[in-house]
Amino acid sequence: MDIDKVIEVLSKCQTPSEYEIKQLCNKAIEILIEEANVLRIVPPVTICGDIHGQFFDLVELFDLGGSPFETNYLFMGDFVDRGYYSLETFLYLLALKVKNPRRISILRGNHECRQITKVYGFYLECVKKYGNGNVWRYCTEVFDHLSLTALIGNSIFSVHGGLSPSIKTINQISLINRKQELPHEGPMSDMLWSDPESIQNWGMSPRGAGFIFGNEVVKNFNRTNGLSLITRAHQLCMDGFQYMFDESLVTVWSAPNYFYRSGNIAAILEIGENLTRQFKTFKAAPKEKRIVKVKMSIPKYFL
Amino acid sequence: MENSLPTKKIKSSEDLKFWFTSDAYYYLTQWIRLLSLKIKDLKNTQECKISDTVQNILNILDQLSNLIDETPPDNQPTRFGNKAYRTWTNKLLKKSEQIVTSFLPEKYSEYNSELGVYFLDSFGNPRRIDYGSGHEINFVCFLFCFYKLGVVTDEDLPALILKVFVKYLQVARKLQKVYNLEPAGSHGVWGLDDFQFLPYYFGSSQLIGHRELIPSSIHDKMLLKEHSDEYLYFRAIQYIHEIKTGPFFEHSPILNEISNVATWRKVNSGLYKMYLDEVLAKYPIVQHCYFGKLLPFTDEIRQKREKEFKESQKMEKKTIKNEK
Repeated sequence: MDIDKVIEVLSKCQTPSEYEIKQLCNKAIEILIEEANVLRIVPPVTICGDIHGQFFDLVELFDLGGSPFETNYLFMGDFVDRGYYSLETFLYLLALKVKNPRRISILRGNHECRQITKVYGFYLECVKKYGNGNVWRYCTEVFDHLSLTALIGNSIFSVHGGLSPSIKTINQISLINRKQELPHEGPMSDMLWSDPESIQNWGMSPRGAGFIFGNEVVKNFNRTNGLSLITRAHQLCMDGFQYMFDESLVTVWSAPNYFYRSGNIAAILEIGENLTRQFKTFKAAPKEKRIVKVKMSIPKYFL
Repeated sequence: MENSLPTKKIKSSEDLKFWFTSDAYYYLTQWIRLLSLKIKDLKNTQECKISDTVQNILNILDQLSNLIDETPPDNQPTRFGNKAYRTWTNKLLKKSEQIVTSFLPEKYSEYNSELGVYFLDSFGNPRRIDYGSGHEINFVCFLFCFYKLGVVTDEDLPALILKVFVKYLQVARKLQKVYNLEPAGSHGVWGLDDFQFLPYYFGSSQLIGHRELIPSSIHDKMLLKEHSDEYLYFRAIQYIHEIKTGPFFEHSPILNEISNVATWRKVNSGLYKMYLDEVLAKYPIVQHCYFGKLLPFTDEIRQKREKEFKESQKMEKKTIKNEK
């Protein structure tokens, strides 16, 4: 596999051959398998939230944040489902990771699993583009190997969803066996499904997975682990990002104009060498830059 | 009689498998088919029999709509949806006893609270400030309860869709717009619609036999305007144009493809299959479904059929033996 050629193809939102995808995924797994459940990242790094297959908006993100060949990035998961280009989006980030493993960090989101991608579009997209489910299988195997969390410069903690009542210290995360399909419950599931809420402690999540957690929980976790900030994604933000709990937690969302109706802007969070924080926001790619080349066909139910 | 309310029962893949063979699944799928059949070729403006029970539901929906007017969106900082939606929900809950106890005639009043569970969860989730096809299912289950008890009969069914469901959609869409509700569990470009499904299924039935409007007519903005008051399907498409940006084929590709289907009859039968596959078979949605006395999580119907089948097989063997 010629990684530069694969990157070139994907950067134009085109798909490599099934064989190249298999090789890319295998190569990625070789790298990811060595990574810890908690990635240690030395700043500077630019933190990004959900993308959900919005490839052309990912291009806007790179235009704003800097070339992925020159800028360090951390993506907090949810690359796939809902948009047209989940495959191109995920594989592009994967190829960038393979090219420069230290520069690009990718975490697992709750959509990076078999059960969810069979419902929310990624599986359908793979079958549509390749005529079979092989590519989906290769990708879901990669999902199983994605890291769960990151620690930036010892004081910024990043995770897709949020906290778990089973996890009090970051060290405990290392004990999780992450290389599996996302379970329905337990600490791994919680971290990818939970949401912060304006309460004090823990509550049942209306999502049906994970929990909701409040001010006291975040303050305790940050204090126990010597953190100044938790960054997470998982929830749509009108302004691209939203602080909570006296700026001790922030949601970052990187899919602008979600569903073509939300009218939301997207954001990235630039963490400087000295752990300074700067948010940058961006809108959806303009019409001229958004090519819809996925030709949907009449669903099988109507044939 | 135990006083338990409907609860969520689908928590694992085994539960999901059981759901397909359950009495509730049978009742719900037959219910939506029956409703679709009863409004075939009928406009929203069709004169229908409106019983006191049905009129009461309409009045309640009006109340809910007025409550939105009385609870304007606020200026609190928010992640996305407007927090005044939670105020609206609290107001609804304060009125809930008065609303719920008015649903059924005296002799069925013990079932009021069962209906209340479905009704109160038909308008979105106040914690998440969102709305999705699961809430729509709850409303349809709510309507089913009346039919199961015999309080509403076949003659009332056209009104249930053409008047009640139409008004329910008006309330739901008003909530979505006024409070900027998030689509709950939308499939994005891979799904039919961010918020609803059944307006398309029921709506396609209304158009079966229409001499001028065909599935591709939805692309004509003038026709949409002219017919959105009469037809659920057209109103649903018009609503999408009100809230989405960009070309239709880009933001709603599935609906766009369906507009290429030759007849409304085919659209209707296709949407039924799609509903079973894309909504009722999906764990993330049905994990939130409620099961009680009227929509039970039991499989008595399947068991009964199996028994009858075995019995008929025995009879057949006996007959063959006798003939010999």
